[in-house]
Amino acid sequence: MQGKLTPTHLDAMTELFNIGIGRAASRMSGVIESPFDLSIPRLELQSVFELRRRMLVAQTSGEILSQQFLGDCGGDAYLIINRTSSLELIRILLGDGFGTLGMGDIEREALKEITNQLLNACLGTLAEVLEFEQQGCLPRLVHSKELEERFRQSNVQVLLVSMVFATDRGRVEGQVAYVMSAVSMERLVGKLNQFLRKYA
Amino acid sequence: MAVQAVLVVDDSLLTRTMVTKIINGHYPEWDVVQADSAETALAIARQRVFDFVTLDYTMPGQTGLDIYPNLRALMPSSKIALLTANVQAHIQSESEDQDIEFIAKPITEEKILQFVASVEV
Repeated sequence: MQGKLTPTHLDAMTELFNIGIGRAASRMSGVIESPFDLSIPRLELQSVFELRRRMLVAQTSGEILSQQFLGDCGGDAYLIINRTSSLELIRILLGDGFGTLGMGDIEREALKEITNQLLNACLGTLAEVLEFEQQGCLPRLVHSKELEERFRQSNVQVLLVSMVFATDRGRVEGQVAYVMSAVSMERLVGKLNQFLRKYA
Repeated sequence: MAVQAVLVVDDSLLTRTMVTKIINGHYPEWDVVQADSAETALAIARQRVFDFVTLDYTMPGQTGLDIYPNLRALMPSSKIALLTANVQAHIQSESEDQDIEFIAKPITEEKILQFVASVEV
């Protein structure tokens, strides 16, 4: 089947996301002047149903941030992180005075900036290494109605990347989901095949 | 340049394959051996000496820097580089402290060839 990701594709994508997460962690560790311990990211293909379930669970207690990426392999990226982890991440990055009263405007802006850095690092690495044009829009908070609409489309495909960031100040687990149309996925597989033919 | 032996230590099949392909593309007679974990790398290094070693940082079990002292003890004259996606300043600093060359992923032909050319005689 055209556009289907094989285990070799998934191994390659895991390594590329690993590079992206490493770049984002480097920037964030510079901000907090403390190192991040990074897990090896786990990448899987998921059904839209499963993604929707995870997002709705996270959203009942936290925030879903989305960023659209335009280009040949374009799609919508989501940072899925529950409320506890969101606030933990904000405290790690901004200090103990933040996040204690919940998710206010400053905390939301901080989370958007983190999302921007993380998603751009991950998807930017994919675009750089696989050599395709891509442009990231600004991140924004997504509400459940919009998610329902988005996931009503039957032909979307989902890449889900799970990761853990830990510092001496705390530990944060989260996931990045990249939701693509079947056409975008097919183009991505084509780019991966080109890359693998050249280098692997 | 004399035939050289290279040990590529990385849990990513892609990275191992890319490094092997780049090196063998330029030096087909070189012996490139792959290890998919820190433990496997140590087991291989106890059996033979390599001229070059590329060492990933984040791997299941031990990190590349965890096993570096043991590798160095087994191969005191080898050229060893940390080849990693984890480009945080403290990792680079620790690499410098331990006198390991630091190569940031993504891998390019230029980076790998520059590393293996660095002891060319």
